[in-house]
Formats: sequence, C-alpha cells, structure tokens
Amino acid sequence: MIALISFKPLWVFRGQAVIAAAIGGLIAGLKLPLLLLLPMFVLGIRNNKDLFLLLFSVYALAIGYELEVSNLYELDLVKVLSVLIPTLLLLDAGLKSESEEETRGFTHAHELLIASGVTIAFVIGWFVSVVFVAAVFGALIYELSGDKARRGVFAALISSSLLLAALVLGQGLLNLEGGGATQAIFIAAVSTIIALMFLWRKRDRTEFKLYIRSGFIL
Amino acid sequence: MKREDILLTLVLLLFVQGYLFRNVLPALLASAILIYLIYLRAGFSPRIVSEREISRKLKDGERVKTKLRVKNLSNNRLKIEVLENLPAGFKAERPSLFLDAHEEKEVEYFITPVRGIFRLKEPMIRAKDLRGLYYEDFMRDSESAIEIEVYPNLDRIREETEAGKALRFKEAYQSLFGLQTPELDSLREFQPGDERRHIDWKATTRLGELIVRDFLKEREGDVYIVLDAGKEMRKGIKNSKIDFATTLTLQLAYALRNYRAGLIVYDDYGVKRVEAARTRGIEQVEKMAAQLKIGSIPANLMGIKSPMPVGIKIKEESRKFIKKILPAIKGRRSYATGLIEAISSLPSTAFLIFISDITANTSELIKILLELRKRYKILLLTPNPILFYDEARLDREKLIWLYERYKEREEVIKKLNGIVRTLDLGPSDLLETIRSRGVLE
Repeated sequence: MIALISFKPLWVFRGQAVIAAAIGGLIAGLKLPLLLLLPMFVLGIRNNKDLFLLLFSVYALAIGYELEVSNLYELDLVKVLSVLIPTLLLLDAGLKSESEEETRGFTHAHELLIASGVTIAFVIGWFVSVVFVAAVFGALIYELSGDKARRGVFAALISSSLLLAALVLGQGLLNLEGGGATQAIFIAAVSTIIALMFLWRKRDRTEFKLYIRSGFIL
Repeated sequence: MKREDILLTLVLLLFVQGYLFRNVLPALLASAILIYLIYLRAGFSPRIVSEREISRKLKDGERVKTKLRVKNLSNNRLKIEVLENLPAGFKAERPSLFLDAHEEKEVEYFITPVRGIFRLKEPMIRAKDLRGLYYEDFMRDSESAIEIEVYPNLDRIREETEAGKALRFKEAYQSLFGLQTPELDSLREFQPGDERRHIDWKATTRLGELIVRDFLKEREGDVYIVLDAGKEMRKGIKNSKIDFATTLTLQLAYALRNYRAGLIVYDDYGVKRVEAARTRGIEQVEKMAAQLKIGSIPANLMGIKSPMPVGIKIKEESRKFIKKILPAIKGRRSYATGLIEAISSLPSTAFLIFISDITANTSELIKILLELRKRYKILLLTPNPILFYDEARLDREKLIWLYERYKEREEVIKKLNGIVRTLDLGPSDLLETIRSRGVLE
C-alpha cells in the first residue's frame, strides 16, 4: 500500500525507459550515449520537453556514431532492437505530460505489478537479450495502448509494413557488399514517401521554446 | 520553430549520418522516429464540446466564479487548456485539465471584470496531445456570446476613496491652515502630502533623510465658509447633499473655532450671513449652527418637477420661455445672482471655503471663481452626487446615466482644479478624517 502511494506511474515509466536505454546500450556496447541518460531523466522529471528534445537529438546521433550496422540483411536483430525500442521508449517517456492523477501515485495494484514485472524483466534481459527485447517491446506497447489512438496504431502498422515490404522487395538490389550507404538512402526515400502519405494533413503544432528557468533564450 | 520540427530535423540528420558513415542503424532509427511521429499525428483527432456558466450581472473588480463543462468526444486522452477571449481590462485564470476518452469534467475558475456592458464570447478550448507536439483550438460560434453587465463596485469605490482620503485631506488641511508666514518655525521629517518645495536640502544631506521646513502659521486671517443651499444641493430624498454639506460645515466651523471664521449661506431666495467673529471659540460655532436651519424645498419649487398631464405637449420654444420666466414669477434669482450677493460683502482678504454643487451652474461658478481667486485663497468642496445616490433605486438605465454624468463630472473637476483647489466628497468623507487627524480635539 505504501508503495502504491509513494510511486508515481509516470516517474516509474521514465525511470524504466532510462533503465531500458542503459541496459540496451550496454548490450550493444555503447558508452557515450549512456552519459546523456541521467540529464535526460532529470529533464523528463522537470517536464522540460524542449530541452529534452535537444538532448535526445544528441543522444540519437551519438548512437548512430557508436553503433555500426554495415549491411541491413546481415544485422544482429536482437542487438539493433535492444537499442531502437528503448530509444523510442525514452522519447515517449520524455515527451509524455504528467497529469494530476499520475502525480498522485498508483491507483490500481495491477499497474504496480506490471511496472515491477517489466523492471525485473529488464534486469533479467541484461543476461538474456531476447527477454530484454520482448520486455521493452511489451513496455512500449503497454504505454502506447493508453492513448487508445486506433488511427495512430493503424497508420503506424501500415507505415512499418510498407517499409518492411519495400526492404524485402529490394533485397536483391540492396544486399551488396559495402552497400550500407545505398541501404540508408533507400530507407530514407521509402520512409519519406510513407511520411508524406500520413503527414500531409495540416495540424497546429506546439512551438519550440527553449528556456532555462524563467528566462527564454530561444 | 515547432517541436515537431526538431524531431524531423533529427530524422533528416540521421539519414544523412547513415549515408555518410555507410551505416544503416541511423537510418533505421530515423525511420522508427518517423513512424512514431506518424502514430502521434494520425492518432490525434480531438473533438471537444464546452459550455460556460457565468452570472449575467457582475461587479467591477470583483472576482467571479465561472463554471465550464468540457466534454471530450474523441477516443484520445487529451490535455485541455482554457483560453479566455475576454474584453480589454478583464482578467482570467488559465485552468488546465486532463480528459480521458469521452469523459466530461467541470472546471471552475475566476474572472475579474471591469465595468460596462459587454458581449462575452465562449472561451477557446485548446486540446493538446499528451506528448505536447500537436494541438487544436475549439471555439463556439459568435452566436453563443452572452451579454453581461458589470456594475460599479460600491465597496471598491469606498475603499479607493478611503485610501486617497488621508492624502487629500492633508492637502485640504494645508490649504485651510496654509496661511503661512515666511518665518521658519521648525524642521521635521517629510510626511506624505508635504510640498516638495518645503524640503530643506541642507538638513536632508546632513541627516540622511528627507527634512521639511515648518513655517509659523498665520492665524489672523478671516476664514469664510460659503455654503450653497440651492435647489441642486437639495436633490435626493434619502441622502441629500445638503444634509452632508451642513454636517461638513459644522465640522469645519468646529475645526476652525480658533480662527476668525464666518459663514455665508445662500440659496435661490436669499443670503444668510454670520460675520467672522472678533472673538474665537465655541460661541461662534453655535451661532453658525443656528444659521444652518435649512428648511425643506418650497412647495412652489416642486411644481416644476410634477409630471405633465397626458396629451398636453409644449413646444420647445415655449418650454424655454417658461423656464426663463418661472423663477422670476416664483421669486427665485439665478445662481450667479445669489452667489454674487453672497460674496459681495466679504472683506478684502480672506480664505474662502466653498461648499457647492458644480454640475448645474458650472459656467457661472467658473466665471465667479476666476474673479474671486485674484483676491482670495479658495478651497472648493463639492459633494459628488453619484456617491449620494440611493443604491436601492439603481437600475440599468440609471446606472448608465450616472456613469455618463460621472465622466462629465471628472472633466469639470479637472477644469475647476486648474482654477482653485477642488475636492470631490462623498457622504462619509472628511468627518472621520478630521477626527483621525485630531483636528477636532
């Protein structure tokens, strides 16, 4: 009961995302990006989304700098997913708003059980990578399911299926020795076309205002 | 720049990084982020309905509770921000709340209005996604706007009057007892209301705080209270200005008992005078009090105000003619005639305290004051009719009418202040101030 009151779901989620990113990074042998996790966690707690986004950009570029996959069709899927999914989980945790209910503490016992189970699975996953990937993927799906965004899920599924289909269809052309650059360009091209299909609709978008304490600097 | 642009820029950079470093991982990461953005954008389709409850009659400057019912018709959990689109001068809180899919909530917040009649639009409801990347504004059509009336807040006016009163009386007191000689009496600390030209800069530099010079008071000059007891001063049944003016006159007479004080009362029919006494003291105050037995409005004066029988219409020219000759028929004189007669026998130098209405015969009063200020030091005390108005008889039309008069009056006061020092007074003005200043002791 005490745990129910003292743990705040969003904080736990942010903590989990950071732990997942740290374990995933260690599995993939990353060093530099892990240094950014603590400041990102602090910014997530302080709900400073703009600064978090900047730091996340540096984090993502650092991952791309340290972890190398030269051929898409010969990649270590578990290793790549153990970096990609925690990165998305981290981004989602950092951007999510903290509602009143979420600052109060867990209201249902099953939420706490799931949160504890996922954290334990992360730790076990350090030794068994597949368990880690499954746990992180489960955690991401659980978090996104709270949005009840059916259209979003549908769009995401179509987008990923199209990308996957394109990569499978283009395997004959792309699976070449030293074809990393071509594969990257191919992924970029297909992703851009898919994005244009879904992002053409006009939306009001929130302003990016980088600020430090009370003074705006951007 | 938008938040989404940061992520899109990151996606672009990762694609470039993947190409330049011949590394597929940054491209995969970029695709994952792009799919995440697609998920968020496609999933964000808010639909909100809202309805506001607010009282139609508000008081100026008084916080009023507003209830807003907001319903989320979409399947998304949303962050809601209420952005009021209020007339200039209004203040409002900016409440925010979270709404689950198809949830309805009631939010209460406060609005601080300013006086006037306004059409109040429904607030704009901003629905944000939980990641803070997108939003959509919802606003009801202009037909949903409601008309609200914001009445002046009498308590606030009183408070403001109270706040400014101490300072104003200090000025008035200096005018009253400001018959100073150039002879230095003493030095003392600066008090609010002291004139800056009396600051002793040498002493201020020496002592490190503002020091002013006090001069010996000239106690030998005559002080005359000139009280207008005319028709305009007698208007009002419950709180007539003349009741207040007589009380004020008595208070002043008492406060001036150590001076050579006199009283002149004039109305539409004649002038009563109490000469400035050679001896000072309470006897003179009693003599003045005896002259303040002001009777009710003569019955023949009331005739003008009686309603016209239905069906009888008088032409404008005829009305003007009757208005001109009627006072003469009833034995009344013009305002200027009464006032000129009242001041005709004043000594060559005196301090005059006028207690008079300024709205009815403004031009005559200004002409006379312009003449008088050449010879006399004058203070004009004028009861503000708005502050004497019976609250129970207030309705919308009267309120608008009073407000218009109030604005006109402000202009007149400004003009008069350029001629002589003029103080606007309410029913509770001066009495307490005189007491608190110890002038009556």
